Amino acid sequence: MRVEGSFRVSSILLVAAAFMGLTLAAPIPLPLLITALGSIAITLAHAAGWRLGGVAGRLSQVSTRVWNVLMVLAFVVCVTDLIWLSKDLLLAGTNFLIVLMINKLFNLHQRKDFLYLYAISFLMLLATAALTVEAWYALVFIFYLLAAIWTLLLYHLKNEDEENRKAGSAGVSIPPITLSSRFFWTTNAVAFLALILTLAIFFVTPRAGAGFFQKGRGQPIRMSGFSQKVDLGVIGNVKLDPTVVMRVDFPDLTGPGEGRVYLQGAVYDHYTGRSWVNTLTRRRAVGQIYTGSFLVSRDQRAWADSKVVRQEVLIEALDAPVLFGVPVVQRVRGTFPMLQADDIGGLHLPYPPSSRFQYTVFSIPNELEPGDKRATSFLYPPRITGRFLQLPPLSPRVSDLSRAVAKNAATPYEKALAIKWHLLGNYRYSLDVGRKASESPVEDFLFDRKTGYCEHYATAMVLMLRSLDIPARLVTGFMAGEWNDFGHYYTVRQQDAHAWVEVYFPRSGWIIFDPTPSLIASPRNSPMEVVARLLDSFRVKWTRLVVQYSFRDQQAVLHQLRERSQPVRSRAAEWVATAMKVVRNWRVWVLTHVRDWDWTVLAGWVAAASMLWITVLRWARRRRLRLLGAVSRFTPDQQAATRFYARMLGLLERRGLSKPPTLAPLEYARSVAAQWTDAAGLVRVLTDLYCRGRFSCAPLSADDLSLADRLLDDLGRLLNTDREQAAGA
Amino acid sequence: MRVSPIRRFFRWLYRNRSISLTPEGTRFVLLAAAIGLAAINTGNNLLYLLLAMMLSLIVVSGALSEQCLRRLYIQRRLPEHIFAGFPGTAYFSIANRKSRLPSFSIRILDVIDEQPIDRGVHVLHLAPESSALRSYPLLVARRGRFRIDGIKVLTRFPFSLFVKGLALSLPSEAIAYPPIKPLPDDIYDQIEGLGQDNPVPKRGPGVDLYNLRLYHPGDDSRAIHWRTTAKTSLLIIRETQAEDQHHITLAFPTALPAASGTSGVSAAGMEQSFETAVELTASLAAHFQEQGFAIRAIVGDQEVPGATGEEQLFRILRVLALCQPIPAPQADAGLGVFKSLLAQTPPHEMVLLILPWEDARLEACTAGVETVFRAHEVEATHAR
Repeated sequence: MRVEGSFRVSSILLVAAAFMGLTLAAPIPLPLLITALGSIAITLAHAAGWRLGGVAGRLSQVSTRVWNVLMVLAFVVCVTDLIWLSKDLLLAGTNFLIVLMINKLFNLHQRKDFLYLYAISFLMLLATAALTVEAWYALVFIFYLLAAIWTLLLYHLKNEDEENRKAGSAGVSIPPITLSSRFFWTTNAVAFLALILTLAIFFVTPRAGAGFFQKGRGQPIRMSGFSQKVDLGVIGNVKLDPTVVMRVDFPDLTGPGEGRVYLQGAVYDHYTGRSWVNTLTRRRAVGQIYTGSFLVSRDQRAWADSKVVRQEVLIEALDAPVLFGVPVVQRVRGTFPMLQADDIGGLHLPYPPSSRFQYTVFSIPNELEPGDKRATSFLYPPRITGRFLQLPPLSPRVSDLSRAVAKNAATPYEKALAIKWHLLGNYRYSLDVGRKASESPVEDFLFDRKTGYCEHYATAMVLMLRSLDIPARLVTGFMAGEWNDFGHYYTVRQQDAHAWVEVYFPRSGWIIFDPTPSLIASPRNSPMEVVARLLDSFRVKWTRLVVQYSFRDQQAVLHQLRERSQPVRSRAAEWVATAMKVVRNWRVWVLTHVRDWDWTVLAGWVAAASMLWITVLRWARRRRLRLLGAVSRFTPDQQAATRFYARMLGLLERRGLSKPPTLAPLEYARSVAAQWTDAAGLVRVLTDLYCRGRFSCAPLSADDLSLADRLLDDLGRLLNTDREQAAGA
Repeated sequence: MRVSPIRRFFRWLYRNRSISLTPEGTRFVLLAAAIGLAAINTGNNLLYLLLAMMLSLIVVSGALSEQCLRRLYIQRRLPEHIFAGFPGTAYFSIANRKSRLPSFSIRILDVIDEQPIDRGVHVLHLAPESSALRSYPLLVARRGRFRIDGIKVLTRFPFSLFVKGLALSLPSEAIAYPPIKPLPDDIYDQIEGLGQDNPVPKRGPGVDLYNLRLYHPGDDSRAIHWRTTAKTSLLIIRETQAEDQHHITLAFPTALPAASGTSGVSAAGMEQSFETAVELTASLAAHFQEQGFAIRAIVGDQEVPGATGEEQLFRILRVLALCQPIPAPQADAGLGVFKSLLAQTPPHEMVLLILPWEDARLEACTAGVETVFRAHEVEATHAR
């Protein structure tokens, strides 16, 4: 393939890659999108040599004045868009960039036109980087890099070829450059090398950015159930929404846990009869151990148990500034400037994040103490009884039911279990609870409808426990369900939103009780689901390794490297110490015995060792230089001349005319001429060619080499004829 | 200051290397700097990724251009004879000694007095273990010794962002002969028909056999004496005897006048006259060589003994190329040697005296000389 055609194709592919990224990242008006796609398709087909009835040709013949007018109009539209329509500089600017791209695609005449096109493509890629953090950017980027390497290389070759032709290169006829398969693969290898290098530089470049969150441009996900006041039934609205809310990785676990994983979001203490309210609204700023590491709990006892559960949470942009984690959260690490905690255990950011971000949570789940299990009654502190025994006006049926269910239970723990099992066993899980507003939805659930979902189950259990003077509260959050076996994390969706109960035990603290029946979906393993999980794990890795990559990650990598290299460094230090010890021992031995030595023998040994050392050094130097190619005694022309001369010598040897080492080539040629007259001319000309190629500065031309080949063939035929005649005789 | 071994190693590795930015490269670097600033300012990792891409392109560009320049074996061949003011053809022989990697976009510049001079020599592609020959016109302005110190090999491969250079010492020296010009008509009229009929058996164009000798590379194959070649099994060449032979002495005194500049002629004017005289002598030598004369030349205090043929012409031209006016302290001695050499001319041999300037001492040499040319007169004729 010729350079010219390939160059145009690669230039258009370069701009197409950047445009593809922009299309995915920004909302481009449909007419503009169609026009741009059509322009790319037409110019690409034209560059590839397809006949399009001269469409591209006609468009490229549109006069400059018309294009200028169009550009001015486009600029006016862009300004209008900026001031009155989108009011977004980036979006207005990208639209104008696309118009510029269309203009340039049809006006690629001179070298500077191509340079402008590359600049436009780069600005488009830049705009894409500012508009998105999605994983597809990786594919666009790789494609752009590949196209950029091809384009820059072909741009260079084309320019050099043109300059070469203009200069005429002293009358040498210049064949057009063609691209061989070797060139194709070499260029791709260069692109691959550049990609590897890009990644290396990316990870090594020190991060000095001050952005705590990447600026997102999409709408945050609307959340329900995590505000200060939550109406009963709001979670049901999102139970069919598959939108991914977060991914939770448990780095210390190798697979999905056996039990349910609860991610606490908000906690509620007060029930009004139709809504749950968090009355403990006072929030305190959580203190930092060091920048970005927040100490939520000061319970040193818990840390000593070392049952810490570490979770790395990659959360999407939500409209609620709530942080989720396995209860009880002890420590949080993240790139947010501030963290707030309420008195009931909820964690909040100062403002809702505008884009996806990552944080790490360290939790120590509460476990029920054996003493709490066995105790028949507790003396609860007033701060608990004052808040977590509150009941709304209820009919006596609720307390009657509670007592009836717990009549055989002796301890608060057994009572809680009895109520849980009662709810699990006698009520049906359903999202279809009707739209009819009820005065007391819990009583409807308990006595009339007997169907509901997590909020109904949990609220009912809290109220029943409180009616038995057992402190309880309602917690909303998520129950991690879908395990991604490619990325080893839980994918948490809106439909995983959940509500459960926490019961207070004086020694153990708040213990989780979940009265909602388990609705564990069977793992979906259709090819589409598997591919979706694979893509999701790639998306997560992209976000963690690229988008969220920070100075702290660089420090962590360095720290790990230092730790892992510790054994190697220790071993090296030991080896050096041992070697030094051996040297010291030798020195002592030499010093103590040197007085008794025969100095002549010693001098002989030293001389022999020196000679050996010099020989080794010389050998090593020659070998090194030979490996580096510095010691190549002959030029390629000399080598070619030597090859055909050696072939001639071989043929003459078969005739019995071996070349004595004492004869110079011309002397040998004369000697051959004297003994084999028929071959005299051939040998003479071959010898002349050899002398010229081997000893003169003028290189042998291709004609010379082909002449030598022909003469050698003639010599071979002559040798065969001579042999046949000798055999005949 | 102590230089670390690593730095010393890199200095050795990149000795004689130079690097500069092309206009495209300048824009590229500025853009990379802008992206870097934006990345630091925003903390956007995708901008860091773009920055890394641009930096990697710079690194790849450096590595590939270095590969292009490595293990190139370059030789220069100057033309055998160079005449001042007339273009000759010089050659570069470029061999790529790499076993696997080609070299692309190589430009070769001559370096004279540390100044690179672009000769337009360009090799777009040189396959591994192959060589190329590139010629270029070489024009030397002045006669005399001409020296090229080295070469500079440049490449913009692979992305035209940087020009990487490799300076190599490749000295070449040649002598630029004075230009040979057509003789003015008046001079031509004077020398036409000059000469003594005194044939001497000499090798040259003719019909009669002069000698048989062994074939040498470069001999005309039509001159092979086939009968003898067949007899002896050796390639034998037949040489012919020149049909006639004439003798002439070209005498060119170079001593400066006793008080140079006093005759109202500036130093520049005298230099111009001297050069005119040198060129005239060279042109006369070429003319008589074409006519088959045995030419003897006396240039200042140097003598080129009489002989015929092209070799003799170049011997004379070489002396003329290097001759300089003899300054006052040595002028008398030089003039004395000149006179003594002139006096040794055989009695029947024709003498042509070329005087570079008006000087009474030089005019004294004209006694007994049939034909005298004066440079200032020739200049005046040319001016007319």
